Amino acid sequence: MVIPIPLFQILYIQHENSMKTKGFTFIETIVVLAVLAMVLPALFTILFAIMQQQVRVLKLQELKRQGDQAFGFIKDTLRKNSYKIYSDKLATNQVCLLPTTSYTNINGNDFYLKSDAGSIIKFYKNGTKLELYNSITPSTNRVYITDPIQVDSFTIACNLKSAFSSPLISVVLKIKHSSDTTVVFSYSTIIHVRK
Amino acid sequence: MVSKKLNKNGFSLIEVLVFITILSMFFVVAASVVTVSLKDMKINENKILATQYAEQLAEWLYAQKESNWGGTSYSSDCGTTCSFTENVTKSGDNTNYCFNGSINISSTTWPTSSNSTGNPCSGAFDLPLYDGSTVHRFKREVKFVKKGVDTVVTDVHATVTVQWKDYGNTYTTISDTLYSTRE
Repeated sequence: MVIPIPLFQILYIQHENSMKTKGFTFIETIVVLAVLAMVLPALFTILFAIMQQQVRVLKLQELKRQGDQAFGFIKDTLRKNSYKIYSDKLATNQVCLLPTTSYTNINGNDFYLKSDAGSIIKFYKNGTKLELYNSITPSTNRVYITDPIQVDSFTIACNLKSAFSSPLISVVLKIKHSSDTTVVFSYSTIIHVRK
Repeated sequence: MVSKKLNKNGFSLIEVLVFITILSMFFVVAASVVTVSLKDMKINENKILATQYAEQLAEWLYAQKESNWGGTSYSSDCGTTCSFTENVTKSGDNTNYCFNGSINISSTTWPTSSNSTGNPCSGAFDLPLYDGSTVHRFKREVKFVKKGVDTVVTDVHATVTVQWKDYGNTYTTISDTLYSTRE
């Protein structure tokens, strides 16, 4: 006489069987975890090194891009126009007017350049930014160096060597990245102002 | 019974070997890709710095030219009062300079010149780095060629060469600038 096995019992036996033959043993799992524990840190170390290097290059690129752009604009502006230099906004106190005189301004706050057309501009350090003030649009300054690049120092100076020449303007701009302040790019030049 | 069970559920030696071979090939390729890309990035980083060094020197030379052009070639010892054209002709028609020191725009002091056959930096890669690191790997040289008749100098052609060493190789960036009175 055949005793019928209840359905749930068959399922239970099959399930138990498959667990035993097809699953992993505890030891196997431990070995796999151990191997992973050795491989993954190595893998992440390599990935981290790549990312770190990439970030370094990107930072340098941004530093150079902003520096080149700002410095190029300053050079172009000073070379292409003829200016008189003043130490005040109203253009009453002209400097570097007499031979062998000089005038240095750190941050550029009091170094105004007046073009022949009458507009007055100045490049100056505002906090960690480099801005251009223009008397034609006094309420909106153009910003040249901005986050994440910071202005470390900005110095603009002029001197007149002889009565027959035009003043020489010297500009020193030092910039750095906000998250890597050890690398400082220094831009500097000396330009003859057009007569 | 045992062997049958093993065959059914485990891997054979061949299977394991094939798997390991494919895996190791993948890892070798991945490792070489990583090495190459890291090297490229390092070269890129140094190239940015090298360009900056070269531009800095070109700008300093421009400043010297603007401040004191001169117009005649070197004839007698002018010391620190040498003009730009005197300095660039100090060692004859192909005057070389090694600019491995830091550059100050207000300074008018030139390093020691050498002639065309010389290697101005004498193989020394000791240009100070921006981050103040003590590991030096750059050198910066400039070569001048003047144009003009007799002692009159009208144009000066400057070739700034920045070289650096990395991974046993030497890399070079060259930039040319023309300084002239007609500007």
